[in-house]
Amino acid sequence: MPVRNFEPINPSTDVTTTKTLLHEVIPITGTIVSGTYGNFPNENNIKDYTHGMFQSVYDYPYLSSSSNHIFDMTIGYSPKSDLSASAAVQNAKKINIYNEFAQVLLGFTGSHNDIRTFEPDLKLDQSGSMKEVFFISLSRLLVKDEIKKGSFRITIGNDEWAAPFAGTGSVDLGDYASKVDGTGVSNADGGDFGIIHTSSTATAADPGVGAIFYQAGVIVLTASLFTNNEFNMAHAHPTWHVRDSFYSASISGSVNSFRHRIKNIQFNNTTEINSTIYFCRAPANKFNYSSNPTYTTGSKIRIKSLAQDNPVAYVTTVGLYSPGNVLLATAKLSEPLKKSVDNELTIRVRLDY
Amino acid sequence: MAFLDNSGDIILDAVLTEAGRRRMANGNFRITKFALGDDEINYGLYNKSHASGSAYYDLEILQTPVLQASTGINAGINYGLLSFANPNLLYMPSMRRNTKVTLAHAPQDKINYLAVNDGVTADALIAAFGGSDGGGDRKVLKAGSTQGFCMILETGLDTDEIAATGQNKTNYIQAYGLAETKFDISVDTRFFSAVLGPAPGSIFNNSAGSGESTVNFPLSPSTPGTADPDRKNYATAGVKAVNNNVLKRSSDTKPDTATSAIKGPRASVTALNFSLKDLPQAAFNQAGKTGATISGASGTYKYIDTIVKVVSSTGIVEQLPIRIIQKE
Repeated sequence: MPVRNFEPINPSTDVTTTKTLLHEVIPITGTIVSGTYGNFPNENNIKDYTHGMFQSVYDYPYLSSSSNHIFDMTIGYSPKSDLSASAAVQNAKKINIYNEFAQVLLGFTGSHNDIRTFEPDLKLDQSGSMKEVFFISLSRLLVKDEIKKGSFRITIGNDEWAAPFAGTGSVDLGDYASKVDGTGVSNADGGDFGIIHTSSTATAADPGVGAIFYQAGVIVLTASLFTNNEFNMAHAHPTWHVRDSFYSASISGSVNSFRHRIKNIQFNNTTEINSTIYFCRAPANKFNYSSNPTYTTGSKIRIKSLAQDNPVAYVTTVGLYSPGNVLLATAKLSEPLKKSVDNELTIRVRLDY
Repeated sequence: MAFLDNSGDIILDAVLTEAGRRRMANGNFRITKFALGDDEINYGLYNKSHASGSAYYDLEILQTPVLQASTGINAGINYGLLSFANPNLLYMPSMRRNTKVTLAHAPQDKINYLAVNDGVTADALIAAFGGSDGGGDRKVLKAGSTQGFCMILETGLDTDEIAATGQNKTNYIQAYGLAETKFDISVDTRFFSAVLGPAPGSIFNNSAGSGESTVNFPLSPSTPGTADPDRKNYATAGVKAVNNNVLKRSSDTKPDTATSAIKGPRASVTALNFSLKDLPQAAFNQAGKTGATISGASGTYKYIDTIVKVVSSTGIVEQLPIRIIQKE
């Protein structure tokens, strides 16, 4: 009610809309995944569930209210996998996990609506499929609107259990062939996806070792990535190869072994900010006086000595109003701006959605 | 609400208000105008005698740290920048409370008492404040009364640099459009049912001969109907602005300042009283105090302290503290 003077905002000349993509670098060190908050495999930031279908990774012991859920990990195999057998540990759950991700991310195919299988390429032709896979499902807290294409990197260890990252055991993977402009990216039910390669010079045509779904924030890595016989040391004699682990170990058992072999993960997330910019134009002859009680002393304007002196006011706040004078948004300047008859102000107020 | 970082480039911290978010959810978010504010600024820091020259006059003002934007209903602009066509204004009207004329209500110990119309409270307070003969009656407003004592607010140039002559009123007030056309009175609708303002026939001058005043304010009710967007539970009622025709004349024996609280050319005047809702005990329990004693008055009292905001059509804002009181 106290505000006396408004200036109109012309919707055709004073309002514009923009879209900005904001990227943040998200580094996840391997020690958070295993070892920082307790002894492997019972770290306090790793949450196992009684259903045993996946593990959740937090950035701090998950019982703390200041912890954030950062991603989930699990494994699965296709019912077409030769590991699929009723004797396999958690066989149904491993198949269900695989199918759930596959049907959400890839959809169905054929006249019988068969669930697609993951592939190490962009073709979606059901050839060269990845039937036994690890899943990393990143939290929306990290991914925001999507993972920036071409930015995903993960380093895994493929050497013996005691020193998985030694020598040539450290393997760098990434969506090297994917570009922000859409090169090296295809689209399926789960949104845009690219291929995870082991070589930074790989092209989109080269088969990879996994897939990344940018909007869903899901990374699928083939189990065949791991070739060392000491993939899972829970069963020491003989040690379990990754296929043994997929068959004989529980989901969390295989995930624990996978965690042990993650050195770091890094990607850029993307936040799409839609903005409306209001250009608030204060012409030279407007907003030069104030109703601020300190503006006058004894009814005399403090900043003037003579009537001919320029009137001056100092702007700290911009209020944006509805036609009925309801304040809908308010903006504060970081420092006062001088307004007088010898200057015009155009204040650009950006509202982000 | 922290301060904004003012160490680098000028940045703008913008937020949607509660009303903005609500409208966004309802799908009727539309911005069509803007206003500017300067609530953080203390113009008293403008130093016209700075030793280093005029470039330094506003140095302290420009260094004022600005608070972050907030989203509440009163997140906006309490006063606001004004646009007057004339860049040569040296004086702007002020609002002053008149306690000089006989009809004017006066505060008791800086408190404006508004007695619930129950037939006993006003009489008890008047007696406690000195009785009718001792001026006690002008210290108690009787809720709902359209005659008698009322709060009188004057506007004009409260300066002794310009004489309050008719010519100066023309030159400094009327020529610049600084006379009020009305006053907006914002009240808490939980307690107030109507604002009583000047009715036709209201008059305020000193033209009765020798500078004697003629003051009469019959009051008529105005219902607060327009929600005050700046204050929760508040709504606004418009009341009439009466021509303040108290003038300085060399021939008068009674000075004009014996009638008016404004020293220079006068613009307008209004008079106020209030009607109250039937206030249950719960209202006093929730928003006020019960079992209070008043010095010199028998019994105990319950009361609610509230603020009435007065805004003139030229942008002057005055806040009146009111104590709604009832004898228990």
